[in-house]
Formats: sequence, structure tokens, C-alpha cells
Amino acid sequence: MSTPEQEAVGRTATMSDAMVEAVAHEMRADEEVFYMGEDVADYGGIFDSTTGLLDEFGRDRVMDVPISETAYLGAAVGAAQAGMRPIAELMFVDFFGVAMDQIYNQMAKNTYMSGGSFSVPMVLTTAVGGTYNDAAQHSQTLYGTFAHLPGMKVVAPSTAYDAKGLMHNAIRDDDPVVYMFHKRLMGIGWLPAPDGPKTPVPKEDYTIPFGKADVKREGDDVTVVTLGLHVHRALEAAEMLADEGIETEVIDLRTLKPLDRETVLESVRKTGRLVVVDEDYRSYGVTGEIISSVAEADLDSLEAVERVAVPDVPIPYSRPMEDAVIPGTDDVAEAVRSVGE
Amino acid sequence: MTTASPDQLRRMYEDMVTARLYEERLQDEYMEGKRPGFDISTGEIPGELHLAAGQEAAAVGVCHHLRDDDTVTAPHRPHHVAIAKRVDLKRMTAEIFGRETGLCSGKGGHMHLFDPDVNFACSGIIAEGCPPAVGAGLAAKKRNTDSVAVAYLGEGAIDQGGFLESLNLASVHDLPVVFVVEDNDWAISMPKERVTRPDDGSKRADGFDMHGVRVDSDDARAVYEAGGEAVGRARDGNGPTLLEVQVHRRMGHFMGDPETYRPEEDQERAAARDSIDRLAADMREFGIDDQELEEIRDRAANRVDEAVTWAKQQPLPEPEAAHDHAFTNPPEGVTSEEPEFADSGAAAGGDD
Amino acid sequence: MSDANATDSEADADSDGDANPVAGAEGGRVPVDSGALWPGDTDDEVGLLLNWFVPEGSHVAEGDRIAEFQVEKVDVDVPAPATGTLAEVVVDEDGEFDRGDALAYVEPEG
Ligand SMILES: Cc1ncc(C[n+]2csc(CCOP(=O)(O)OP(=O)(O)O)c2C)c(N)n1
Ligand SMILES: [Mg+2]
Repeated sequence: MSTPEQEAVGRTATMSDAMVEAVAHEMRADEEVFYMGEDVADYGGIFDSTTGLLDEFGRDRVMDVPISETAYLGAAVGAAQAGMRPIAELMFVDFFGVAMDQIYNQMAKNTYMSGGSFSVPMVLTTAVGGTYNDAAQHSQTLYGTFAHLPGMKVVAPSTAYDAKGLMHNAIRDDDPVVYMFHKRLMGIGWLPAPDGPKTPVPKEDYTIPFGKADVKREGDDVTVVTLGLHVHRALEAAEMLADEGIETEVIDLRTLKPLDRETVLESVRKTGRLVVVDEDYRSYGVTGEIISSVAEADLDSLEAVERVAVPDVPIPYSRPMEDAVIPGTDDVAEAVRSVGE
Repeated sequence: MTTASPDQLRRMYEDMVTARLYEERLQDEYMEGKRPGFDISTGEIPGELHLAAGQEAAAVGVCHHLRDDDTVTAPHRPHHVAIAKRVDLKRMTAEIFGRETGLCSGKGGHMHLFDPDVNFACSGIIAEGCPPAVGAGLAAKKRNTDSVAVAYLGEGAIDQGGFLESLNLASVHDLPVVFVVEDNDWAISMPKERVTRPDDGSKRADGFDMHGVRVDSDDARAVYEAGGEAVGRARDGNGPTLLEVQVHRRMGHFMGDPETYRPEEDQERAAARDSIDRLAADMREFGIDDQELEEIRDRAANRVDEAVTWAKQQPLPEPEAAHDHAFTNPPEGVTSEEPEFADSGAAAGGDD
Repeated sequence: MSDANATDSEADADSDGDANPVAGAEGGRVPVDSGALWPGDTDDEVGLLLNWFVPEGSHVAEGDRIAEFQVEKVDVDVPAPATGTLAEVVVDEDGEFDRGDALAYVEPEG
């Protein structure tokens, strides 16, 4: 998972620690950076996204806000247009509905509509994902929904190392960035993470550029393209498959917009077999986008294709049903076997 | 003025005790399979669980004026309201345990309880039960029936656009809707004064030229009076009411909330102001003796125990059931065939 | 979820028959004492080790956060008790332990 350079760092961190470290660093460096959201002050974020920030920066810069997403996300847009660098948190991505206009008609379009005379240097952080039986209104990833709409950059880290570098980049970027962190990866005591997201993390600041996927595992037989939690499920599947003699390459997209089509294409040219794994709905989403990108660029490189995603139903509450709709390690392995035949 | 009769006090007491014992029981059941590591995705009841201990007065005080054909929408903390609205307790419990025979076949869970028999629905998105309640009121008005709709929400939800827009829509059409704000002083870790003006949420009504009332004491009889007036106004076709009720959060926001943000005195204060004890004291003054109170409590305890026991015996849904219910099944009013017209070329709009 | 500020427990209850009670600290090594970090309002006597942030053998400075554990629903940060080397990790990640058990030992410098 981590490179030798990363290993040399010594200490490891959870994904939440890594994110908070980047935010704190940027807040120290630039007075114009501030954080607002529900329960981000005393609570430190329901998913540990702001632990300790209130103590260091005070209520002026770490602001609890009313449950008025339209108002405070829109206020972040306005403050960003005024030249500040706000970070605004939407507690669960599922709540985007009550504030969608500010997100996609204001935040995402003002740069373009103003002919580039305004920019909106803000970060919208938001928790995504299921696997803990929180049902249809609290379990979605909505990766495709956000990546579909033009005008915002969209990132979704899968490890602490990536989370920190992407957060630094997001805050420094002059455009609106939607930073989607998976609850299951944060390293929260009450929602245990799989092995993998906790990685060595350098103490100093560093940036990871947008639009660069990361090959988390090399393999010659089948390419698996995924993101977020499912990077770890794919890696686990790859270990199982290696025992069966199938070598899987696992590509972590890391950013959905801009999208690194080149790395995907290069891998498919090598393996000829593509499996795309997504924790979002199957239709009109990431899986379709990746597959059509490859087909468009080099149809002949494709020998077999399969997608693994949430069928087009809302996420059900009860465990057997949620387990059935969210792709598991076995589902990934099965898909890899089927394209490998 | 609708003063509660002794019989009504008995009914309120029974539902309040039922709701309290229910939450206490779920608190225990929730922890099953979650020790020593507290992992919210494990155990018999997984996922988030928001319990309403300390908010019972707001539920019975309003819902006991309602009929089955009246609509109630509840937020993420719905159990006490569901009990007061006579939602089927066994099937609701089975739903919370994720069972096939639950109210929603295991699809919804505790934040999303739906019971069409008593017109009860929920939303886990803050304040988003308000517009559908307005819609139920609109339907009643259009059909000229005297049923009413009640939307429950927390004091943190009164800052949400969906609520404010609903007030206006209900007011401008004089709809039979009652908005009940349960003020438990907290929105997760955020105290009301940090995020909301004014302190008295019922004043929001003024801006929409509708009736606004706040019941400042966590007292079932006082809520019953105010609730009677609000529901009566709606039923008589005299428009909506915004009713705010002071309640107390006796537990964490959700199970697993360490409440490190909450001063101990505040927790103690909430524990000391128990609307159930208060009602019991009033009942004694009406000559209802301790023995009768105990009989009521026993009945409530049995009911809770029966519901939980039954729920836990129910089967889990089959995994494949996840694919059912995205749409109405069997479909009605739609066709799978296109019509054939004599001049089919013209109808299809093609010119080839 | 925010970490509870670990309050000093009334007593570092040495549970009997433990594999690794703190009282058994040998040599000059300083135990990482779970009892001293036990959160105030909990009834549970069993904890779960969530994360180690430094591997065995690494250098730690007194007060550095080296691990975290959970009791009931409260997460507790574990600071290094001394500056030196994290000589031995006794309780691994996902391991359960009793209140008062040593989680690890630090070999102090000098
Ligand atoms: C639109 C939206 N924003 C945020 C949340 C997350 N959330 C769930 S409960 C809650 C606090 C609600 O406080 P209040 O309305 O006072 O109800 P209480 O929990 O106190 O009963 C929040 C912010 C949500 N469910 N929906
Ligand atoms: Mg509240």
C-alpha cells in the first residue's frame, strides 16, 4: 500500500488525523482559511473531521453553524468570492438535496458564468458511504452525481497519505473542490476501518495533484478501477485471486474530476480486461464513465468488461439487504474471475 | 380549552411510560453485540439510533387529539411520536431490528418508519417532513374532509428552509397543519443559543401571520391543552399553528454519543425535570392512587416486552428482497404497450 | 466523535490474574498504563485497542500520541509515558485488555 519513502516516515496516522493535520497546517499558514459546519467545533466533527481544531483556532475560525445548509454553503461561496478560503462541511453527502442550488448553480458555475472574473476557492468536505446500516438517507456516496455536474473538482481519498496530500491541494486550489471522505475509512473508534487506510504520513505538508490516479497494486491479468472504500475491498480480493493465480492491478482513481483516463487506459492496454467497482448507483455513474472512456479511446484494447456497483435501488436498512447491494470483496473477486476466463 | 380528563391523564401516562420504557429497552438491546468494541454496524440493532427519552409530553400532548386518518410526520427521533400516534408497536420494533415483518420490510429502519394504517411517516433529513405534512393538509382541504396533519421537528430544524417555506405555504392557504417543535435545547452538540434566533421558536409564526404558541414547561397537561387548541383550529378550518414545546434530552443525541460537549449540570437538570413524574403527581391529586399507577406501568412494561420479544423472533429479510419496492408493485395505471394508430407514420412523427 | 479527555481514574485497579498487570513492570522500562488513562464515567472494565501510530522499536517523545483505545463508546488517546524507545507492544490492534493492563513498555533514554 505504501511506498518505501512513506515507510521511512515512521509514524502512521488514521485518515481523519491526516485530514485534520492538513487543515490545521493551512489554517496556521493562512488567516483566510476557516472551517464551518454542523458540530465541527466542540464535537470535532461527527466523523472526526475536525478533532482538536476548535482548541487551536477558536470559534471564529472553527464555526458551528445552524442546520441551514443552503445558507452556510452559500455563505462559503460568497466568502470565497470575496477572496477568503472557506472549508464548509456537509455532514453527510445525502443532505446535499436541501442545498443543491448553492452547490451546483452557484459554487460550481460562478467562475464560468463570470467569464473567469470570479473564482470560488472553497472546499466542500462531506462524509460518504454505507456498510453500517444507516439506510437510504445516510448511506450514499453520490460520486457520480457530483462528478457529473461541471465546475467542481471532486476528490475521494482512500488512505491517510492520499487524504493529507489531497486536502492540502484542495485548500490551495483556486476552484471549488468537493472532498468526499468515506466514513468507514476515517479510523473512528465506533466505525472500525479495514486494514489499509491507516498509512505512514509525513509530518510536513505536501500536495497530491488532482487528476492522477494511483496504482495501488500492480498486476498483469485484470485491471480493477475503483475508489474510496472499495480500493481496500479490491486489494483484499486481489490477494485472494493471487492465490488462484490471477494477478490483479488495482487503480485508485483518487480524483473523479479531473479524471485520470490515461492511467486506466495504459493498464487496460496491458491486461485487456477491465472491472470497474463503485459504491455508487450502477446507472449513469462512475462505472459507465470509465468503461466508455476506454472504449472511446481504444476499443480494441478491451477484451472483457464488467462493472460492480450498487443496483439501482436506494440503500436498504437491514443487514442482509445492505450487504447484498453494496459490493463486497467476493463480488469483486467474482467479477475479476469472470472477465479473466 | 381542552383540559385533560382523568381518563385522558391515564391514557397519556400509559403512552408516556410505554415510550420511556421502550427507549430504555432499546438502549440495552442496541448494546447487545457491541462490546467491548463499540462498532455501530454490529449487533441486533445496527446503524444510528436516536432515542427520545424525556420528550414524551410533546408526543402524547398533541397526538392524543388525533384520529387514525390524521397524518403525522416525524423526524429522526420518532419512537415516542409513533407510540402516541398508535403505530403498530410490534411491527415497528421488528423494523428497528431489521426484520422481514417490520413495518417497512426492513427497508427503512428506525429513522424511516412508515405506517399507512395510522398515516404515519418519517424523514431522517432535518425538517423535510414538513412539506409532506403540508401536502396532507392540502389534500384534506381539497377533499373537504376535516382531517389534519402534524409535522414534528426539533428546535435545531427551525433554521432549515424546508420548514420556513412550509410555514408560508400552510399559512397562505389556511391549511389544517400543526407544526410541533420539540425544543430539547440541543442539536447534537450545538446549544440552541449558538445557532438560532430568537430563543422562542414559536415567534417564527409571526412572520407568516399564523398562530404561534410556546409551552414553556415540560408538562403533558399543558401540552395537551395547547395541542387541543391547535388541532381544533386546524380541524375547524381555521388554519395552521406553530407550537413549540420545551422537552428534555435525557440521553445522548444518538447511541454512542459520549456527550463530552455537554455540561454535567445540563444533564442533571434534564434528568431532574421528568414529565412522567410530574404527570404522576398530578394524577395522584385527581385521586388516581399509586396502585393504579403501578398497574399502568406494568401494562406498559408488558407491552414493550411483548413487542421486543416478538420482533426478535421474526425472520431477517432475504438478501434478494433488496430489489423489491423501488416502485409500486404490481404497477397500476401504466401500460407496457404503445398504442397503434391507423396512420402510424404520422403518430410516430417519422417521415421515413 | 471527539475523544473524551481521559480523566485520572480513582485507582489503577490491578485486575487479578492478568497476563500483564502494570505492577509487574520489570527493569527500568516504563509501562503504558491503561488504568491511568481509563475514562471517568465508564462501567466497563474491558477496553479495545483501536490503533497503534508508531511501530515497536521506534523513538517516542513523552506526550506523543502513540495509540488509541476505546472503552464503552469513548475513545482515549494514549500518550507516550516517557521519552525513549517503544520497546514492546503488549496489546495488539483489535486486542482486548483489562483496566490497568500495560499496553506497551517504553525504554527511557539515558
Ligand atoms: C439536512 C440535514 N442536515 C443535517 C442533518 C444531521 N442531523 C441529524 S439530527 C441533527 C440535529 C437535529 O437537532 P434537532 O432538530 O434539535 O433535533 P434533536 O436531535 O435535538 O431531536 C442533525 C444536524 C440531517 N439529518 N439533515
Ligand atoms: Mg434538539
